[in-house]
Amino acid sequence: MSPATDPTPTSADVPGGDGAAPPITDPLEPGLSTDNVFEVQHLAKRFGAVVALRDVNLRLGRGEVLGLLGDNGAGKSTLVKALCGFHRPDSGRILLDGEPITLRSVDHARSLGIDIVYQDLALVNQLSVYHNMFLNREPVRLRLLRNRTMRRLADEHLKSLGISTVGDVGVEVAKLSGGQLQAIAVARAVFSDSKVLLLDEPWPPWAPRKEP
Amino acid sequence: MTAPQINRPSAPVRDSDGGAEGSPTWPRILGRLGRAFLLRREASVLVVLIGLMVYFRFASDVFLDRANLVNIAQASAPGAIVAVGIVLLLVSGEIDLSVGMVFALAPFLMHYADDLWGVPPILSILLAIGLSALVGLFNGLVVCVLKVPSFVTTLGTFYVLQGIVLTTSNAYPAEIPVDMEGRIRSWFGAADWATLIWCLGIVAFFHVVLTRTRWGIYTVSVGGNLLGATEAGIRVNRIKIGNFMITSVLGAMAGIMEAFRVHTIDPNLGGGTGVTFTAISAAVIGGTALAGGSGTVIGALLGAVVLAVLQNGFNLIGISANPFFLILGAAILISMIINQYLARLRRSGGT
Repeated sequence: MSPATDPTPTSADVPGGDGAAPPITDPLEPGLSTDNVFEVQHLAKRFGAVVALRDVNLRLGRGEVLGLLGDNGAGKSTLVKALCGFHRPDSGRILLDGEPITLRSVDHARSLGIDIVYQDLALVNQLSVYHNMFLNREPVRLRLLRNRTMRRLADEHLKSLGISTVGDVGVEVAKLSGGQLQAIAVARAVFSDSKVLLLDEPWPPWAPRKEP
Repeated sequence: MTAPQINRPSAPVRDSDGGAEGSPTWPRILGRLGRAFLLRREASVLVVLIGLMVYFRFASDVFLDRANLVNIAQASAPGAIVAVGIVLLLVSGEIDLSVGMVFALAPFLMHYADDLWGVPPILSILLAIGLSALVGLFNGLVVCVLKVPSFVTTLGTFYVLQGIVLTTSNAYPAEIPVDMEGRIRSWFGAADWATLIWCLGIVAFFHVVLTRTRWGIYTVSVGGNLLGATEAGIRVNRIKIGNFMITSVLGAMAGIMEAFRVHTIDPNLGGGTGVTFTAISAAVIGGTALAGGSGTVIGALLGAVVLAVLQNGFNLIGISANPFFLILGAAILISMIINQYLARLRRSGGT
């Protein structure tokens, strides 16, 4: 869900989040989605007896930002994890560029252009900033990691995003603050140049910018 | 409006240490090198090793003799080889207590293959190592698929393997197969420096694996943040099962080498838990965290050498073997305390 300027009408119907406001109901129909990058139809997910997701529908146009609100435990993170290949849905369809897809894994979703920033950030304290930024997509030569390349690219990318709080990309992330970790996790996802970027509560540790 | 810039030769800038940038002084360079050295995980154990060697050199005239160095090399190599696997497992957040029994089982498998099943010598060795890898596969599957903690799983496997070794051997030692005498036995353990050369090769290889390959990075990730590694798409079970298999293979190699060296296949080879605990001790003394996520193969090698030097030095200066365990326990505790301190230092950037 990359930054958008054009708020295209979006349908989102998450029965788990039964707020007071009536859901925006724009029943999805097959064939309607030629302009949609991403669609979810009747998605459901159970964990044993617990129904985490039931009949979830949403669609997302190019350049559109879709926010998902709900109480704690409503299933927001589960939905996001089902959309990025982490959880396998029990039923329902996911369409990317109008084509139905079955996400086999996070890797598979990423290869299709769906990336995510997890609520817990998914960073490894013992690894450096640049190793974290390239985690599971490290460039190699003769099976050896190209550390210099990763270091340079990570540094360039953080600078290009205007993230200046992370000094040396060679330090272990255990030494960084919560906001810096968040910046790295977001930069990592943006770096992947994905078609669909899912953000699961990515902002809490970030302090709002204070205007003078 | 900006002030015109004037290009003039800049004066050397003094830093807080009083040194001039561009013309670093030797004390400053040495200070930096010293601090960089101390921040390495292997630093404390290397300092201890050098101190022990200096002490035993002055306490015993024969400590640095070639024959004694061969003794130390042969005593430390099997533990160090097993410790390499233990480091990989500890870093990935698991442990293997059964590797000591794989160490004892593998030479018997080699013996059965060669003497009973008629398999050629080299293939017998490979078959023994391959079957041992299956032990690691079993451990890994039970831990990763059935979600049984590795401590319990490998404790069970340890006793199962012990039963297999004692039952199939009738608790009697066996001879090295006749067709393995000569070159094969010599290359794989009997020659003076053979075990050390194998050990150094294995340590160098797995040091590169752990620090410079995806497998190493994923091993650290799995042990450091299992959920995060899973979310990043790393196949964590594959990494863990693979490390169990590597540990078993290394245990088998070390056991076969040790059997060649002592020229017999002993059901009590490695003293049961002896090799396992030596390897875990070496890994921990060398700076590997039991909590997972960090560790060093070179540190484990140094840890194994420290233990061998201690035992050897005690023998030479006539101290009973009994206090060795007291020293070993103290060494583990002290090294863990030092490692905790150095870890805090590293986290704070050395300041």
